[in-house]
Amino acid sequence: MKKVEICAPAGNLPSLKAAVDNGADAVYMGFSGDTNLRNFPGLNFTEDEVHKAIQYAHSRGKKVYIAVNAYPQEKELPLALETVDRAYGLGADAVIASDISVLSYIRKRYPGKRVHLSVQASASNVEAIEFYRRHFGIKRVVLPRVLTIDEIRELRKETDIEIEVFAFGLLCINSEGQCFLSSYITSESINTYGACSHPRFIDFVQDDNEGSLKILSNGVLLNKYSPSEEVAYPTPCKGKYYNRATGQLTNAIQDPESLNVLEILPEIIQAGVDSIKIEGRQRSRTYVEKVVSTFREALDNYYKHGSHGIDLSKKESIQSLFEGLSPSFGCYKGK
Amino acid sequence: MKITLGPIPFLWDKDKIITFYKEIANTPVTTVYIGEVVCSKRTILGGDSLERIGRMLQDKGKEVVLSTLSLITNREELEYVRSLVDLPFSIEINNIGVLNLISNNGDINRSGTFDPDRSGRMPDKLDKRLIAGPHLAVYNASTARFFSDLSIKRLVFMPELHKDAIESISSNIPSIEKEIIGFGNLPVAFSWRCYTVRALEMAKTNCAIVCKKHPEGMQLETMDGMPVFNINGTQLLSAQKACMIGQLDILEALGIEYLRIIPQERNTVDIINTFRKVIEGGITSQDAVEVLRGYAPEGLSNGWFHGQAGWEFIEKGNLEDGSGEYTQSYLQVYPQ
Repeated sequence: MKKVEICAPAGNLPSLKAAVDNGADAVYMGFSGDTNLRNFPGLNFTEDEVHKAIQYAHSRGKKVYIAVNAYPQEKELPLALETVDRAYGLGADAVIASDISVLSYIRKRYPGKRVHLSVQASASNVEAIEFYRRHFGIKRVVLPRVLTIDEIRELRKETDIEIEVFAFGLLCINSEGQCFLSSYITSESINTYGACSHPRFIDFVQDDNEGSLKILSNGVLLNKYSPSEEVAYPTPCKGKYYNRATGQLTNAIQDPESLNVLEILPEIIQAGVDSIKIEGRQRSRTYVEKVVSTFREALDNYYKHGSHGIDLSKKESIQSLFEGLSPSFGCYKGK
Repeated sequence: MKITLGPIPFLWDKDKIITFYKEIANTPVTTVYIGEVVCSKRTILGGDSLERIGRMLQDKGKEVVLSTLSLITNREELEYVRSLVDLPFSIEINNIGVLNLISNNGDINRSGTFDPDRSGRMPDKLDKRLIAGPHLAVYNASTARFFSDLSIKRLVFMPELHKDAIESISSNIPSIEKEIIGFGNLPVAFSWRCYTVRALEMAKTNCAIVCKKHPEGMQLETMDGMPVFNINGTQLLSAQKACMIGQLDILEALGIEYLRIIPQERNTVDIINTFRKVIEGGITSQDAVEVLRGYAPEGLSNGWFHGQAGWEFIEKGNLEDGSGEYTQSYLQVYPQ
């Protein structure tokens, strides 16, 4: 039986080693700069580090996927294509891409190489997946977090393309690649710039009169916290807004929550996915270590002992890595 | 510059939709996009009604385009689109899967092995005019060329594109027709979640298409009173209404021939006529902006086009020679 792959994040070499050492089957990462979707300061890999990372992973029988999944505008396109060259040149097992010009380049220049369709391509149905297979020979699709387990199971019957789904980490509530909330507020698009709610736009302002902490993004107020509350990382989807029609002040878009599927892992495996992805290239080595080892143990126990083999007490310990966020199944169990 | 009318983003009563399109039939728009883009539960108009509306508009000389769903996550939704694509209209593709569906002559694909020799070109007998809608990710010229090579006739630019990106696409692919959203609430997100039922604390499975009670959506404001988004079922729109009336000269220079007005519950015909007057030279764009402000109490926006935050509005400078200089208004337009 082919076992489900654990695809772990790495934002630097120590995290990559932690992923490999703790049981990841594959690690995904990006080069420094805005060619991929975690363009944060001090994060990601130089060419030399990619080389070392691939050597480390390959010598232990693990795979490395390189994300070149930002949508380049014209002047950024040469860098994106160079990044593809470097990724394959250094021995990456796959490039993860979304933009049609990048995919076209890979198809033409590297017809034998493996390419995965990034979640940013918003391919959420069999026809979209077939489109990308037909034109670009994709081997795998990373599904946007908009499908239920039932829908994934049905999709599995309709395509033999490998399916990768998110299992843990920050939870996008909107279809990836089609969310412009941060762009609307800050001017920098997640799709082209590779960062949602980039720290350079975020201001924390102490309001002494109210005794609250205001969080602004590019000057737009996203939230106010009292001193005792835990502060989740401020993205526009987790802001508090007044609904003019109902008069309510709520988390109108999303509660402060993150994805944690440990409890429903058996159902996800049984739906026929090929890989489970852990979000969090921007997170610490400790995060990678804890989350990967927890999912490794859970998967191994599942294959040894069935659905009841998973130690659910671990759910809380990995959830505690997300300060102020409660666990969610996203829409896996229903919309 | 021709004016088009985009699909109605909101859910309205059937009677209201029919009355609306009868009014639209007598306006100077050249193209009308009809059909549901947001949510597959909103099948308030079946194929028969859409066909009647479309033919009525065609009889008045309008080009009619069927807009299709943007987010599709299962077979039922694919089948819903499949059931409509044979209507005698052009098709706006908002999900790339629909392009695949059409290029297989409507046969929904079954799994097969990848055939590298298949060119992916449209079959010869396909007589549809295909339009790449604003929800497809087209950020650069080679992506636009890819779609053009697949027989796509027109490209509606994504709302978040900067004018430099538009220029690069336009100058490299002059043959494709180009359209931009000229006025209205911009699409900013699609979700599996229905934000309307969330606001009303209902379950999506039993939603009874309650979004119909909110024909202009539900406005969201920040805690200090700045309108920012608008809830429209499973879609989020911008609260501000995009307004490109001051940029017509630039748009023309960029080779854009079609300017899209997004339907509003009120004043849509007046908005169309205001744009018409500016295009015909009857009033200045500055005067038109003042008129249009009256239809957008949440504010106007055009920031993305200028490389700014989407919600910002960059006004044309009051230069006497009307030269293309623009002043950036970073004024806090939403005083607390």
